[in-house]
Amino acid sequence: MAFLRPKGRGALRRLARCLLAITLLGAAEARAAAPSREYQLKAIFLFNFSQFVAWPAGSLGDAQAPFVVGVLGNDPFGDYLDATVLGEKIGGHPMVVRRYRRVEDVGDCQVLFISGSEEGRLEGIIARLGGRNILTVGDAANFSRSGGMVRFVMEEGRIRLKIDVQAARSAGLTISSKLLRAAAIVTREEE
Amino acid sequence: MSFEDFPIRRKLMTIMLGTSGVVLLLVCSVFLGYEFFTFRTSSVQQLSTLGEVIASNSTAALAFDNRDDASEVLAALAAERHIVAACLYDNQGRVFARYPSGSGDAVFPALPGADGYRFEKNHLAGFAPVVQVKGRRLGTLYLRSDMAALFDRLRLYAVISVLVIGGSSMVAYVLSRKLQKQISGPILALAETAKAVSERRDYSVRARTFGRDETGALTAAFNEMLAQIQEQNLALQRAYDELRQTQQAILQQERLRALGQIASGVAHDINNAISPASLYAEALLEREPNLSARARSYLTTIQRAIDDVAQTVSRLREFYRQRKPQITLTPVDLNQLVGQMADLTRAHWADMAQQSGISVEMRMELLPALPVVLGVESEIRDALANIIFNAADAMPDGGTITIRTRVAGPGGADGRSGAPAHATVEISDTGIGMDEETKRRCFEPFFTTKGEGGTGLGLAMVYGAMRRHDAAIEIDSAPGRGTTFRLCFPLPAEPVELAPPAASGPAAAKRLRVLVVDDDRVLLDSIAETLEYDGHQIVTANGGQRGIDEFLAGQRAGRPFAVVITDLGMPEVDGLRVAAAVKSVSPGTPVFLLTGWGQGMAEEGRAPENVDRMLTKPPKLRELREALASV
Repeated sequence: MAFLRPKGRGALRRLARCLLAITLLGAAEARAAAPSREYQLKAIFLFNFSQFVAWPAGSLGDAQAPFVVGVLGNDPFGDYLDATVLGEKIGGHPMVVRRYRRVEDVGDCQVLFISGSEEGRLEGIIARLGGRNILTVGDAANFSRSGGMVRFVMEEGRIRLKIDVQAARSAGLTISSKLLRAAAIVTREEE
Repeated sequence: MSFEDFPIRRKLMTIMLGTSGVVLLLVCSVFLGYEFFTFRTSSVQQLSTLGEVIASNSTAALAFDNRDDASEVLAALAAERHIVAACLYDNQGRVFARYPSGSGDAVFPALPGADGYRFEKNHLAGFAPVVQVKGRRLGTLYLRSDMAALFDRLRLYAVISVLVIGGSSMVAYVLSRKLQKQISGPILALAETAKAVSERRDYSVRARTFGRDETGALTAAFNEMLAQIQEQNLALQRAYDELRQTQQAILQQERLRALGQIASGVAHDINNAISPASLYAEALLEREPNLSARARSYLTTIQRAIDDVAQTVSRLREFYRQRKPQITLTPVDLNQLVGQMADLTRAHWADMAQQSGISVEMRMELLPALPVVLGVESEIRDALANIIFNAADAMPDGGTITIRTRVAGPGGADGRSGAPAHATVEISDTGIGMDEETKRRCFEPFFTTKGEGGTGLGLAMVYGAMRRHDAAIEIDSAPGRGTTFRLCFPLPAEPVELAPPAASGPAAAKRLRVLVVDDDRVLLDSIAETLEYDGHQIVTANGGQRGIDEFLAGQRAGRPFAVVITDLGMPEVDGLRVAAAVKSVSPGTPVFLLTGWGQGMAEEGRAPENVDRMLTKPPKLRELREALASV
C-alpha cells in the first residue's frame, strides 16, 4: 500500500513504508478483524478530504500542532486509518489519528468521522460541534439530515459523497469545487 | 541554346525573374521551416497546457474514485479534435478512465511512462501527473494528439507560399518586361546600328543615345568611332582620287614626253634630210628663169610638200613641249579657219561617204563677227581636221556634222557667269558616240577605236595643242547619241586685230665672208651653193672642231668671217661650243644657230648664250638672206 508518497521521500523510503504498512496490516489482521474494502477506501477518503478542503487560517494553531483526523464512537477502520496517515503532513502539520468515545472528548480536530454507533445521538453531537472548524464525515442514513457535512453513500457498490456545502460554510470551511464536482450537493432540508 | 546565346532581353528577364523567384523561395522556405519548428514546440506547449487542465480537473475524481466524473472530464476533450486518445491512470498504474469512452486497453500504454510529451511516428503523446496538493500524486494523465494540425498548417503555408511566389512572379514578370527595356533598349539599338554599319558599310549612320550611363558612354564612343572612320574614309578617298588624278596626269605627260623625245630625234634627221631639197627647190625656182612651166609647177609642189613635211615634223615635236611661252600666238579668225578646214577635209568625208553609198552632211552655224583669238593657225587647223575626221568616221551610216562658233562666258550668248569669256568652236556629229571608257581615254596617245586604221595620235595632238592655247576641250557624248567636241579659246583681254600678211622684202646685195659649220656634207653644200649664188663668200666646215679651226685660221690670216652659221646638233663639238669659241675670239662676229630643234627656241624669242639669231631647219633661202642682210 505505497500509494501515499510523502513529499521529498526517496524510493527506498517508500519501499520501507510499504513494508511497514503490510506488516501493520498483517498485525491488525492478527490482532483484530481487518477492515472491509469499503472502510479501507473510506479511510483513504478521510485522508483525501485534507487536500480538497480549506480550513480557516490559524485554526490549526502553531506549526507543531498536529492535523487531527478524529474518529467518534466505534472505530470501523482498525489500524488502517493510522497506516494511511502515517508520516503524512498537511501544510507542515503532522497528521495524527485520534479516537474519541464521547463528543465532549473531541478536542482540536480537523476531520471528524462520526461512526455509525453514534447514529441515535447524531443531532446532539453535530449541534455540539457547531461553530468549530471541523469537517464532519459520516455514513449514517440520517447524517445529512442531522446537519453532517459529508456523507458516504453506497451506490451500485461504489462509495459516493453527498456534501452539504451550507453546513461546511457555516463551519468556516471551503470545499474545493473539484470535490463538489465528484460529489452530490445536498441541503439539510432536502434530506 | 545555352544561357550565353540568349537574346539580352531574355537574359535580363531570366535574371530578374530567377533572382526574385529564388529569393521568394528562400524566404518561404525559411518561413515554413520556422513555422514547422515553432509549431512543434507550440504544439507540445498546447498539449501540455491541455494536459494540465484535464489533470487538474481529474484530481477529485481520482481522489474519490469517481470514474464517471473522470470520464466526464475526459469527454471534454471532444472539443479538441486533434486529441485522438486520452486516459487516466490511478496511482497504482491502472487505467481509471478513458477517451474515447469505448476504447480498448490496447489503445493506451499498459503502464504510465515518464512525465512529458514526445513526438512519436505520427503523433504527439505523453504523460502528465495528476496532483491536487503539491507532492501528492493522485494518478497520471495520458494524452495523444495527431499531427494533422501541423500538417494542416504546413499545407496552408505551402498553398500561401505557392500563391505568393506565383503572384510575385507575375508582378515581377510584368515589371521586368518594362524595366529590362531600360537596359536592353540602348544595347539593342546599338547592336542594330552596328549591324547596319557592318552590313551596308554605311558609316554615316549614328546610334541613338538614351542616357549618360555606361551604355550611353559606349554609344557615344561608338558614334565617335563611326565619325572617325567616316572622316578617315573620306580623307582616304580624297587622297586616292588625288593620287589617281596625279598619276594619270603624270602618266599622260610621261607618254607625251617619251613620244616627244622620239619625235625630236626623228624630226632632226628628217629636217637635215630635207634641208637641201628645200634650198635647192627654192633656189631653182628663183634663179632658173628658163625652167619650163611644168618644171616650175613640179618644183612648187616639191617645195609645198617639203613645207608640209617640216610642219608635220614640227607638230610631232610639240608633244613634249608643254610650256606656253614656247609658242608664238598670233591673232586668229576662228570662223575663217573653220571654213578653210571644212573645204580642206571635204574630200575625206564627202567623197568617201559617197563612195560607200551613204550621205554625210556638213552644217555650219558660225557667229558673225566672232572675236579674234590668239593662237597658232597651223595647230588649230590640225586640231579641227582631226576632230572632223573623227566625226566622219563615227558615222558609218551617214549623218550630219555641225560646226558652230559662238562666244560664251560673261557677256556671251549662254551667259555662263563666272567663267572667263571665250570663243567656242563646237563640232557635233550624229554618230555612234563614245562610252565612258572611251571618253576618258580618247586623249591618250596611241589609244584608238579604229583598229589598224588609226594611229591613236589625232586627239592626243589636239589635246596638246589646246593645252598650249590655254583652251579647254569638252566632250558631250553617249553611245548611240553622237559626240560633241567643244574647243573653248580664251578671249584676249584686249581685242586684237588680224595681222596684215607678212611681206617678204627683196634681198639686200651685201657680200659677206660666211663660215658655215655642219656635220651634214650635203646640207653644207646646198647652203654654200645657194648663198654663193647671192655673191657671198662661203667657207664650209664639216664638224664643230673644224669650224672653230677655220674661224681661227681666218682670224690669223687677217681674213675674218663676217658671220658664222652653225648647226646646233653635231657630234663631239656642238653648235653652242662653236659659238662660244667664236665669241671668245671675236665677240663682235654674229653667230647664227641653225637647228632642227631650234624652232621652239626661236619661237620663244630667246636665243642661247653666244648666239645672235636662231634659224630653223629646213632653212629657207628667204630667211637666210634676211638674216645675212641684218648683219
